[in-house]
Amino acid sequence: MSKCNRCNITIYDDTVKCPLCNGVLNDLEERIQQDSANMEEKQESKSLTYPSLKRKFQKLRLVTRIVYFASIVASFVCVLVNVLTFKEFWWSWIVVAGLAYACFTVTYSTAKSTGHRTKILIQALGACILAVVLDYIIGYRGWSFNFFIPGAVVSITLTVIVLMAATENWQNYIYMLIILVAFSLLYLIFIPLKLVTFEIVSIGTVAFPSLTLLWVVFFGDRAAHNEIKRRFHV
Amino acid sequence: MAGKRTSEMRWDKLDNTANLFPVIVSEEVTNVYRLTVTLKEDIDPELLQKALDRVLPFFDVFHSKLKKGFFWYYFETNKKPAPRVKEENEVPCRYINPYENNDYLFRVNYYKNRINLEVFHVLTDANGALMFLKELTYQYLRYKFPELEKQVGTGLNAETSLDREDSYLKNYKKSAKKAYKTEKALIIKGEKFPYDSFGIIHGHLNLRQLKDVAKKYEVTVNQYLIAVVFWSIYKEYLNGQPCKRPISSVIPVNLRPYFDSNTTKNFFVVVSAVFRADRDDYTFEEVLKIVKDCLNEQINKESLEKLFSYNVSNEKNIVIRAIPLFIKNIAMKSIFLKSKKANTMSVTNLGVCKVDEAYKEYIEHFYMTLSMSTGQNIKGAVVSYEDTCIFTFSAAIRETAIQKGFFKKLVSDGISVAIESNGVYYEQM
Repeated sequence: MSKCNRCNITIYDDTVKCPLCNGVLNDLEERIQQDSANMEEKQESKSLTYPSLKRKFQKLRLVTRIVYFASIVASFVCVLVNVLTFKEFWWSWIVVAGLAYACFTVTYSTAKSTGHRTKILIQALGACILAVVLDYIIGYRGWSFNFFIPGAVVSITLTVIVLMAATENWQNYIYMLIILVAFSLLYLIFIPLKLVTFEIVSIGTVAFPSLTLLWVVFFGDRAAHNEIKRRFHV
Repeated sequence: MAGKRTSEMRWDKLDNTANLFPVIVSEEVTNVYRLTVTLKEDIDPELLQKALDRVLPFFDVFHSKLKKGFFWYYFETNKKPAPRVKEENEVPCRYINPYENNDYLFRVNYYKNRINLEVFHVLTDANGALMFLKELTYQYLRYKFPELEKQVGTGLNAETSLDREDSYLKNYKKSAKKAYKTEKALIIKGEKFPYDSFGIIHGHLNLRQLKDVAKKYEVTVNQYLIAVVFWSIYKEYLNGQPCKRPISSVIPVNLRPYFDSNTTKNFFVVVSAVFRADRDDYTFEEVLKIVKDCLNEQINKESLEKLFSYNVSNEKNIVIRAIPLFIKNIAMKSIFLKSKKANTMSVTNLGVCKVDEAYKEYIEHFYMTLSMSTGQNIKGAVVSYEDTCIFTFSAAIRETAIQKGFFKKLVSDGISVAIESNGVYYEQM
């Protein structure tokens, strides 16, 4: 405990200076005269009631920066080479799109503030967008809309089924199923736009998550009904 | 799935104020506050964990997790074990990431003789959290000193409330539309600490002397302290010069005493104390009178009722209720962003903290610490216990001129002051 004569207050910290006015404290002035070695000892001022915190080195942040930097450099080099050796094919955009998705994955999948359900859905959405972009770059043949997106919907539905079977709070996945059904219904608008040409696949894309949801609602009993009630309370 | 049928999950709606917090929360604006109790002996972490495990299931508000619905957020019973009690090793009031905290929205840590309870404001306000902290401390002390158990029993204290009523809904009355404050206030600027750090200075004030001084000026302790903060900003930050922008402070008001509520959920409103430094010759007495009049005008049952009723009427409006959450979030965030520069600072006063007679000899002090938020680079939190009032400054900037002016004024008014900090003011550049 020390006393600052300028501020006229007592200071509980183990310190050589007043944190308010930065003046040298009373007891220290006396000690300087008595024992200069003692002052060396008191050079490190600190709080007595809080721990000294070492700033954490954030490895993840460094990895993210390295991935971003490497991706930008690689993209730039590829685009430059593509421009200089251009032969009617913008192959460099495939690299750029792929690296953009890699950067997104590194950032999003390691984010600590998002749950695994949201991560699965957003990563899958990102993959679908990447597939559509790649399909367009290499001369649109429709594989992204006809096969990739339906494949993604079916895969996530299967994942949800596995997770529901494996976890105690299975009802938490109902909302994910509802989002999947909504997404697959939205997918139907690509039929009149002629982007989806295999209609049987599109029907299957809607039917699989929808039937899974129906099954869960039918056999999920009160737990399923209550989950829907909670999620959609107005 | 049939074999995994679980017991029915309890759920609850968020109170009116809580709806805002999940929308505006981020690593920088954590909306986490800290309540601390210091005991007379160092903490035994195992007993503290045991006490937390025992007390938590009684408090539904804390024993929950936040979930996102299509129209609203809501709370659901958290079936995971209580969060782990850890030794303090990070900056106070850090963002509470539910995914790293067993989905809970509070944390308990300790350092030497301090027990810290950090709470995300979505759960409850400081008065609600104080009930929880007191029960946690009582239980810890009963484990630590078994003779106490014989004296007071093993149950919760009779003073503790477990009520989780939404007192906003219960007490609201239809009211006229109110405009949100958007006039820009004076913003305190200076060299900032790193983004994940901030300075804390606790001022220990003699409560008896403080009450006498407030009485001498014919104001309440709260009005006096706010006026001293404004005076310090006027004299130390503005150097007594006029300023176009007002000095304005958010003052949260606990509504429980006004509406006979004992809820453990949020039940407060914020009023504003405003001082327009339009001259260079204000005296402290003039500043004090401005603060007193400003607060007296707002802190009465009718005005407070109007303040929260408009927000509640919005929540009850069926059209607004039926808007999907993501659209509501955009609207709430835009209102928040418009009004975030409308205040210079916040000063919250938890009042006098009373504990059961049997535990008094084991408890030294109570503290409250606020986290930083955009625009407000300095905040104050006050809590009194026994003969000490602790005024805690949280600051995002290194300069301590305002804190210095504040404590010097108290000393010049005859109040004994002792301070302690979190040590960041001594860090090398």
